[in-house]
Amino acid sequence: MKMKKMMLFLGLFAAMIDLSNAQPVQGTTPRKIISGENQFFMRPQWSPDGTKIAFTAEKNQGIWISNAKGNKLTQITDDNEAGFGFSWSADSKSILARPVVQVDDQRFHQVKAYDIESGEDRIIVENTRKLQSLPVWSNHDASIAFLMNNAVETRNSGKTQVKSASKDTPKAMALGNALKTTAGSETIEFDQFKDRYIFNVKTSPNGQKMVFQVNGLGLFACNADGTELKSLGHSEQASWMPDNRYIVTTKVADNGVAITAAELMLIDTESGSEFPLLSDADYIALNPSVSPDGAKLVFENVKDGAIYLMPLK
Amino acid sequence: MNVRFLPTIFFIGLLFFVNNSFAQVSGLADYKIFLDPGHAQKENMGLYNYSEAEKVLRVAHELKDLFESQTDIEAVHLSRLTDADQISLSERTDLANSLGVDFYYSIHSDAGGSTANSTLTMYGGWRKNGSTVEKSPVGGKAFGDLLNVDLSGAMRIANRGNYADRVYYQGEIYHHDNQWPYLHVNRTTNMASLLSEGGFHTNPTQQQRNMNAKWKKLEAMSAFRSFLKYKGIEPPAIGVVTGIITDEDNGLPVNGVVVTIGEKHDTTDTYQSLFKNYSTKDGQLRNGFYWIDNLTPGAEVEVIFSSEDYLPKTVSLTLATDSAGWTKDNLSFLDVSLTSNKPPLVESVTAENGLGRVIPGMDPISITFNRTMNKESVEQAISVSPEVPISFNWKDDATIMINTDSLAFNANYTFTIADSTAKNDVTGQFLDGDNDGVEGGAYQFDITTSTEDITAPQLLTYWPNDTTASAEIRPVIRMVYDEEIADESVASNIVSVQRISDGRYAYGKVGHVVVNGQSVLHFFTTQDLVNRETYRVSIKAGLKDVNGNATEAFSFTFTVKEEEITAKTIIDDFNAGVTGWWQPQASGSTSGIITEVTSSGADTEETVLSVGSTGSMKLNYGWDVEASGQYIREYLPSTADQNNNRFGIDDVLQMFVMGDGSGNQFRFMIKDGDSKYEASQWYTLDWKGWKLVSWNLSDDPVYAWVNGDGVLNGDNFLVDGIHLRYADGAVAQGTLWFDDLRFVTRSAYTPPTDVELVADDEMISMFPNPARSKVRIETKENIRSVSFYNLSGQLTKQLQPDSREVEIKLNEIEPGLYLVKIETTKGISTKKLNVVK
Repeated sequence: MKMKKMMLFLGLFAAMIDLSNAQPVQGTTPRKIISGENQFFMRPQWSPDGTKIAFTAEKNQGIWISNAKGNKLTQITDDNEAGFGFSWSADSKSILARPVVQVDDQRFHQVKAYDIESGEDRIIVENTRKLQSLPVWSNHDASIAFLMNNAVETRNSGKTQVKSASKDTPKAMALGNALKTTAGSETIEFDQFKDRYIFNVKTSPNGQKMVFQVNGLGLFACNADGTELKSLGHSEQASWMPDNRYIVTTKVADNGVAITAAELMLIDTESGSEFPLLSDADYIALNPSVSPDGAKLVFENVKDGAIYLMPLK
Repeated sequence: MNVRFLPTIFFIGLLFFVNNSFAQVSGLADYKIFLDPGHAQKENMGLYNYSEAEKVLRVAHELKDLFESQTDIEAVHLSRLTDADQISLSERTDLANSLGVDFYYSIHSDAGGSTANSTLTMYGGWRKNGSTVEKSPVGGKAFGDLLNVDLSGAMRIANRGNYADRVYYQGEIYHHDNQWPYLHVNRTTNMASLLSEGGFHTNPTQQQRNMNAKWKKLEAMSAFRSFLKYKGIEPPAIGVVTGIITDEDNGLPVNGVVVTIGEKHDTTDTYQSLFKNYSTKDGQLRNGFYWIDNLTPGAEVEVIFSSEDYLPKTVSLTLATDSAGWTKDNLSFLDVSLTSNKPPLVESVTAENGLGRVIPGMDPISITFNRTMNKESVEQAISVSPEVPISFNWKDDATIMINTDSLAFNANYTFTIADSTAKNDVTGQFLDGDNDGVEGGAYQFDITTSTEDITAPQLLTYWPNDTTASAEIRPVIRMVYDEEIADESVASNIVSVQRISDGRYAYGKVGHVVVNGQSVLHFFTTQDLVNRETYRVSIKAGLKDVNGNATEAFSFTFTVKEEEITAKTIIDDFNAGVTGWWQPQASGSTSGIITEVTSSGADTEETVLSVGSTGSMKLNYGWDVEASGQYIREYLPSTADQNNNRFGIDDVLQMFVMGDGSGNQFRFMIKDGDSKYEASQWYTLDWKGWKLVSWNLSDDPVYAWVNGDGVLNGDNFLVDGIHLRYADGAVAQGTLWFDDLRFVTRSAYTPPTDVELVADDEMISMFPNPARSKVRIETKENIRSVSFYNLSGQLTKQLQPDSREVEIKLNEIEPGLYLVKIETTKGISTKKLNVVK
């Protein structure tokens, strides 16, 4: 009898291990949803309410909006470089970006918020060469934060605070080998990354974790306070799943001239386990963005300059 | 410049040195630059196991130091810091875009053949309606216009120019389809950008300089000063003496020379200090490069060169300075040659087949000295016992060739280079014949001559044969002899191929090639043979070796057993030359080669006439057998035109390969439908002459390479190239030819249902008969061939007129009765002809 119980226990234990290592979602066949003649679209991002997709075009110039099916395209701005590092407001009504204006041979950054319904933009920071980070939304959309003079600075966004029961999710901004967050003045410094740069920082939906890249060293995950730092290998451009545990990334190969392959991966930030989502020579998949409900993702395909949607199952 | 020889070091009075505190260059106070050393880890391996990635990382660090130590720049960012770092293209540009820098500079070096070496810069740009457009924001072109000139001047190598990247890769056409940059780093960076190629890491001279730590300073200095000028800032004045030190005798760079200017020193690299990391052979690598900086611009200096093995030398010069000029105008180049203080030595004595088997009259004896020699003194010094008259030729200033015409067969001789007679051409030092470190002493060596060759060439192997049928309906028949055959004895009709069942002769052409000292006769059939039929190959008597020994007649038979080809697609017939294929050195996978003798290129001498070929690809290879991992990747990019011809699992990939019997190995490499690298088996090059090598993709083994999995997946396969590797004990140097790369589809053999047609004899007229000097044949059909047979059945003359009438000269045909076989498109007719004189 004891032996039977032992066998049963071992079987259940094995099943649990197996389940914990199982791939939670699978990729499916991608479908092209946004393309244009002589256009190269990239960097798609779901809106927080899952009803829209924002994306940019070649040279990161301008920002477009489509509905969740990739229809009803609207260009909300043609500003130079606005398409790099833009972010949705929590109410899915505005987009924050860092466009560039060229004056003579000098580049000046701006911080702008674009109202996607009215098409109007609001300049938060005028021409400056002092900006040290991409801007982020803060304080339930009421504020905009960025790094200047090695410190977090905030400005009024002009939007009313989003009424939400949930706590405001602090956003992190990279400054060299350190992170500064909108939550407080404390700097999270990673000595092991001395002389390197943290970039592409993504905070989990519940604000408790972060993933980011470090030049030369790859992808890392840690708690929001910088503890429990963990290497996740050489993946990039992470997008969180709504479970706050898994991320979708792309694994890029290149020949020094051009990117030759990019495969979408699902990574467990707790165990570091990797699961392939899309590995197909027809796609060089960059900048994946998971929908807020985790049911699908969009990505850019370098092969044809189109945006693809891939349901997850 | 005043050059003087000084035995002792003196006179430093005019030397002035600046300290290390540079005047700050202002004008970049709020400027941010991103330096991107291309590739990562040991990617893009160059010669001597030193990679592009390692070199350019150090150039980037030097450049960062220059910006940070000499300017007020706000920030200099590096994409990677160490040789262990791994970073993708998208990570590089994401980082630069995130940091919001003002300029992105990507640092590379180039790859190609062993003689190529130049600079190249590329900014983001393309052609639009007949004009070249630079990406916005602009700046890459302006920086490149300066840098490509400056860098070539500082490196003292050629300059390929500054190009819009899409123009460089896709040509200067009227309008490009893609109106954006070609290179990822230009295309996806938000700021002005430029990519530079600083020389070739596949050029032996350049690569040995690339290894030097201060060489990277030179390249960084050029980029630094060019960038300042691009920003409208006058570069600071500098005082630098630099150059290459060579051996006056042989012109080779010298290791371990100490260069002194006042209290500053630099020592050229040595095996112990550097080259042991890249070679197991002391003395193989050398660059002779030195660099002394932080001197006072415009000062008078004395530069002292000293080495244990060379006479000291001192040179006075005034340091160049021209702040507004090119970097080369601010570097005081001082190349010097030093004279060895060691007496010359005999470096080697060799003969083609070894000193124990010198063939009189065939194999000269070669004596190589380690220094250039006075030719007259060497010739005077050489004697032979037993005494016979000897004569000489010089291969170069350090190598004398002793002719062996007067030596007897099967004899022993002792050669002596007399004491204190042979001397160096530069210093007059006598040969150190006994190798005791001082002049003088005789040098002796013994040889044994071979027995006289009275044997005719022996046929070693032939293919196809009784046991190995021809799997091709139009085979290249090859016959390999044990020695070289005199080309003049290889008549165009020395080989004939006859169908046994009906006596009909196959059309074909005879070829002769010498491979590693052995002659290969080819009979290139130029029309399809008949499947399942047996043929006799007859080789006439009279093939002669170089000593005049002639062969007897010989014949053998073979059968054709082909699986029929239902479709054939040529990937590359090489008839228009070799285009698209990279030089072996250009691939980072190539390693362990002697680059000076390794190359690929077009050839028109050795081709497969059976397929009407007029060109082939020739691959010269040389292995550094002491290196680890000898490997050649002859790469055909996926974007090459040839790769528009895609194939699949049901196809057979084929190529004719002229084997050299070296024992080395080659294989096909393809990319399957999943873009995975998959390889054929390794084929050992154990044959000499042309052979069709086939890889049946569905039945033959598949081996993974890099990202491959040993399985051919998907469709639309493409050729990635040909790989070659050294096998233990194989020949270390040789040449291979490749022709007619193709894929075919085969099906099982189907017996023919038609019967052979016989020509209407009445429709063919042949006159006059008897004939004296010529005969004329006229028919109503096209004449494919006319063959003359004597009454012994020997083919004496054959031609393919391909017309309805032909006049044939008979002056080389002996008088007598002949059977004339006339083949037309309707069939065959045989007529008797009486030739009279």
